[in-house]
Amino acid sequence: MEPTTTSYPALSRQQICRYAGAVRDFNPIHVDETFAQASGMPSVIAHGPLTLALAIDSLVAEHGAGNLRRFTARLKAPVPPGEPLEIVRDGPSLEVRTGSGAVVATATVELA
Amino acid sequence: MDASIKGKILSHGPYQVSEGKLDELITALATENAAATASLVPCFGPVLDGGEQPFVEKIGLDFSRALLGGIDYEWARPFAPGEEVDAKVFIEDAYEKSGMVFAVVTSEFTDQTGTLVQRHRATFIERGAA
Repeated sequence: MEPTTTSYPALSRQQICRYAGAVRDFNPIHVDETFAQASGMPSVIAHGPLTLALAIDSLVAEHGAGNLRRFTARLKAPVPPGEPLEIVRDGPSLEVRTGSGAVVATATVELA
Repeated sequence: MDASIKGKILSHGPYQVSEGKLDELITALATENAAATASLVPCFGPVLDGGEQPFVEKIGLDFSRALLGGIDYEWARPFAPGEEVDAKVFIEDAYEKSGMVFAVVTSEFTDQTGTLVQRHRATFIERGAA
């Protein structure tokens, strides 16, 4: 089978803040621009679990939530707001790429 | 690295998959399938007990040099909106490699019958000092 690609619009700062509130993770690197830049980031960055949730969302769209059994992911690089994301799936392997093609996460997937 | 932290329980108690929090997550994800996706990833176990900083410091990492390296999710089924589960978060492993410290934090969620709903393992890395 050919690899499939699912595109997601760029995450906004508002989405990142909403995610922080939903899971109660207010690490300032996600919500405080000054802190994030002082930490060496170009801006605030998305939570890793948020980026991975979008990858999982692409699997849910294809297979349904009840058919996912395992998702093992490595985070490779931070995702700043304003970067559209592409989820590229090739069999059990998956990559999360930014609009510029940088791989920010890789994963393997097991279905029921 | 203090190897004695292996097995240490970071938090243990009931966790309600509240419909309100799921709604917040659905809004944050803003996708067509967000409700179903939220039922798989309604929370991140390590921060259930007060956010990332207290948790990272609790396992002995330097917050300013700590990052999340990966997550391994295992699902028996999605969570049901409103259900209450038992949530146990503990340090499964801790080790040093290539000058960095790694801590694997496992979160296990079981339903009222004691059956596993979800387990996820988060690997935190403390980068070496510059």
